[in-house]
Amino acid sequence: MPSSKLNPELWVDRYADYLFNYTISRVNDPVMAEDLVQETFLAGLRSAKGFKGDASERTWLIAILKRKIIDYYRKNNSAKGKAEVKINFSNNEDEGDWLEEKVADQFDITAEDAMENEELALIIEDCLSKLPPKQAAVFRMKTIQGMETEDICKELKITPSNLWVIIHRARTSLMSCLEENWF
Amino acid sequence: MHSKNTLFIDCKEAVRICDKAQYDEAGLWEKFKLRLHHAYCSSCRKHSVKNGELTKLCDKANLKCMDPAKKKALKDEIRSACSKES
Repeated sequence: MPSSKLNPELWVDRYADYLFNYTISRVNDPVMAEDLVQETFLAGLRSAKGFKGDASERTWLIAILKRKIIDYYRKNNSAKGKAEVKINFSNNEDEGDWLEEKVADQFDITAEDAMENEELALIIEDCLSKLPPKQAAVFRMKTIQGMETEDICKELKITPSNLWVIIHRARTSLMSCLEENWF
Repeated sequence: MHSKNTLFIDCKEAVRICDKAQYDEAGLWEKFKLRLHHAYCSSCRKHSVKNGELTKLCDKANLKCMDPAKKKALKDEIRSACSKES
């Protein structure tokens, strides 16, 4: 059973990066994504009373975030008048009229790849959220932020050998988690 | 403890070098010792392949982190909002 209590003070540590990766693949703008995550948390706080505990905390936050993303696009569209999508099949007379002649093969491949990568990112985030907080934090700093070993050691007050042990544990857990969920 | 200069390393050391190698932090001599270890230790060899795959997947996923300063500010904001309520 999912716990029916909310822990807003742990939201940032637990879900910020997951929500951030979710958002960035949809709005493609890091600053806007950060703002949307912030708005989501604050909206969550305001409507915490409405949380019935049927869904997990994260699912509930994602539901709020989805609305925020839709609102963002609505606002954008109405401001710039871009709401309509223009489809123009034949703007170049040199090409054939048949749709089959205009199939863009390369684009479709990359689009699919992008979707797969987005899914992969969320699965890795999911696996990271199952790790002990310290392991996840060190792994994030090293792998995602690409920080130097020395800097991480200074910030967390650990020795390099300690850091590599933590990294090793994190990587081993991630490998088995990904084996279950990805391959 | 083993000395740093021995040619033959144990599995623990091999795994440590393998992790460092994922971040391009293993030296030439370390990499050589790791290769040598892999020549006769199949479990480390398998682990190394998996470890490399994890690195590739992480690169491919192009994971992003929220800016730590922004996170901290957000945390403080939530905390103060919570304390106001209670």
